Amino acid sequence: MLNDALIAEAKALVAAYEADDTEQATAHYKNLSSISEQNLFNEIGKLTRDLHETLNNFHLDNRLTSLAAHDIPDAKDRLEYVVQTTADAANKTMDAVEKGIAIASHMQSDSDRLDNEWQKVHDKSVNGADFRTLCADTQVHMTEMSANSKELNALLHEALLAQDFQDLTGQVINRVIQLVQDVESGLVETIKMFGGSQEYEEEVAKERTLEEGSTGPTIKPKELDEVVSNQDDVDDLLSSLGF
Amino acid sequence: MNPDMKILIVDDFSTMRRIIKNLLRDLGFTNTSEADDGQTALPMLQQGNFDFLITDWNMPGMEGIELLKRVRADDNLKSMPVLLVTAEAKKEQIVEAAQAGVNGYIVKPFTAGTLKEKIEKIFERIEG
Repeated sequence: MLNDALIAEAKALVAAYEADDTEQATAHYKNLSSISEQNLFNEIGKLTRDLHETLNNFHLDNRLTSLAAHDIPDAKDRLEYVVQTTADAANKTMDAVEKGIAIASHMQSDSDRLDNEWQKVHDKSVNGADFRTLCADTQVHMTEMSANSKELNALLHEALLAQDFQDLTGQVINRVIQLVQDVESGLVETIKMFGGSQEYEEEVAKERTLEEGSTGPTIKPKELDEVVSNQDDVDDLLSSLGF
Repeated sequence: MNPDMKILIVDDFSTMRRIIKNLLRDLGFTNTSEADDGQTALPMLQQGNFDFLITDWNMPGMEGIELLKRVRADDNLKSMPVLLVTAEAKKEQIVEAAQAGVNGYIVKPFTAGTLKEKIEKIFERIEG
């Protein structure tokens, strides 16, 4: 539009000179230079905006740099803490459970043995001496039962308390999730800054695919065709292969 | 099924080995050994008169699928029953394991019932 105005004024200027109309020519000449000035101001305005944006982006670059230098190594430490804490909790729980299983199976075999002996009493196939031994054994068993139950109770509480990791690891994982979101938005901004918006949108629209080789647990199996959701799916697939 | 059979449990996570060991003990199998990946497991298998191999897939060093292939390629080990217990759930992986000659495939997380059922099925086939 500015160019059109410039051309019109220039043509009028030439026409005025050709017609020897100096007054008109001077007026058109002034118009011409004021249009040029306007052009210049527009250009400066555009440059200022570009400079402002570049400075903003520079700020963003700094954020990414700080993420790479501090937050991501920190997140690795946090996740290692999660691995260690969950392993400790699992081991603590299994320690308690294994001890509990041993106590329970000891109580079971003792009870079964005594039950068997008492059945003989009912069948009247026990003499006086054996009966007295059985009574004494039974009392020992009762005392043991009480002590064992107390120990089982303590072990179950140990297993219960070992679950407190969930609170701690939950907090740590939530912070790492926040970091991943920050990195994601930083990356998306960087991609857009370098003109990759279209490729980014195309990639987002594509269906998610899994990488080659072993991938560990599948988080959202129902979203992926190439993945089974449970043991029944595995069994069905294997039986379709003649297993 | 022989309750004294010698079983090798291979998983890089000691907690998972411990869970499997406990479940096996509950099923009456107490003769178990452990390895943390295929590289450690293979020489143990070659020297140890094992009867049954239970292995994870995703492990550093040598993965479970590679261990399975090595076992099938070894004249002394090739008939050993192998059960994969893994979080790997891609259909192509299950197919690959079947083609490599796996005897059973359990996907994690799994239950005590599933482990019992798959082990019984494997030995029914072998003994039947």
